[in-house]
Amino acid sequence: MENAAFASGAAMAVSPVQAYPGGTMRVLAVEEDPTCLTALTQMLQRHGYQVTAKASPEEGLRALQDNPEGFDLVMTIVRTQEPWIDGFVLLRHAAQLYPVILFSGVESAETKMRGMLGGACAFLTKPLRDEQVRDVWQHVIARRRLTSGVKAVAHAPSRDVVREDGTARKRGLNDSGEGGSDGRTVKKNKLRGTKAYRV
Amino acid sequence: MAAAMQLNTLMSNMFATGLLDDQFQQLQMLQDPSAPDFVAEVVTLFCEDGERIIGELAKLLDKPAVDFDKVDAFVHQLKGSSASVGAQRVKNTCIQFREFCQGKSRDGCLKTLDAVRNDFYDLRSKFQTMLQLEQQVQASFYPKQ
Repeated sequence: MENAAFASGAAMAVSPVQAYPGGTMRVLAVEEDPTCLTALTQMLQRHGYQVTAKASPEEGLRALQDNPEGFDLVMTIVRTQEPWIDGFVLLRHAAQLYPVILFSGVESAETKMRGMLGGACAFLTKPLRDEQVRDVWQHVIARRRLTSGVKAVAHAPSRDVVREDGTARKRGLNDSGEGGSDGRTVKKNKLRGTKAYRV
Repeated sequence: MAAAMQLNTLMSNMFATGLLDDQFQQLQMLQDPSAPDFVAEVVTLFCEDGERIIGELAKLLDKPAVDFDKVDAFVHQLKGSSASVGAQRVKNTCIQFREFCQGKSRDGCLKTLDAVRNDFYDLRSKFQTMLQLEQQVQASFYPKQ
């Protein structure tokens, strides 16, 4: 029903966060500064996110390890007082499983690049604004699409057919799959046929 | 309604003198019936944490050999929390403070610590007045039976 609403361009009766399949979006928010953590938590909760707030990347990492299915998104401060575990360490552990948003005070382009190359889906500058926090759900959806898209490509049927004698022909509109000298054809994996993947 | 008028005057003055910026208004907009004491909570946290950080800075700068990286880390923290709460003047003084940390200037750091301390205590005092006036305004709207 919500897809029909999207397709027709109708205004949403509920927010994207509330319409998220399986219930509301769950955010792990990590920030050492209690002032900032309280403000971030309130911003997220007002927009319908379910928030688990942790006061250090160490605690955040423990929360992910204790409940790996319990979150849809991680938001973490980059710089911390602890020298051995900061937001980048948490990013390294979390980025494969969750979309991760980093945030910090004014940082150099190199630091932001490090974050993005490390797998972050966004690098925000503090102080965080309500409108930035409101829209973090987009990263969860983008990640889901990316994940399901990768699976779809891996299992996509090929459009090329290769005869047993190695010659290729394009599949026509009414192609029954027959061809070749003895009528047998072999489907060619499209990915392997491209230059980039040829071995 | 004297308390309400005093509160308005106080807030206008805090914005006009650069003590606060629009980030504080952002926080005010976050307060709602589900979190009726949100602003008071954040302001209290800021004041407590700010006091702690200033104490740590004083201790670090009092040592014969100053660890400027540690000083810088604390100033960075104070700058972050002041930016989040809209404490513009404290934030700006922290920016200057960091320059002296990065330049490893003990005198510069000590001078700026004094400035941060003054700005912070000035703000804290006004925040305390603000919270008292808000309570009075609330009490006049919702008197206890």
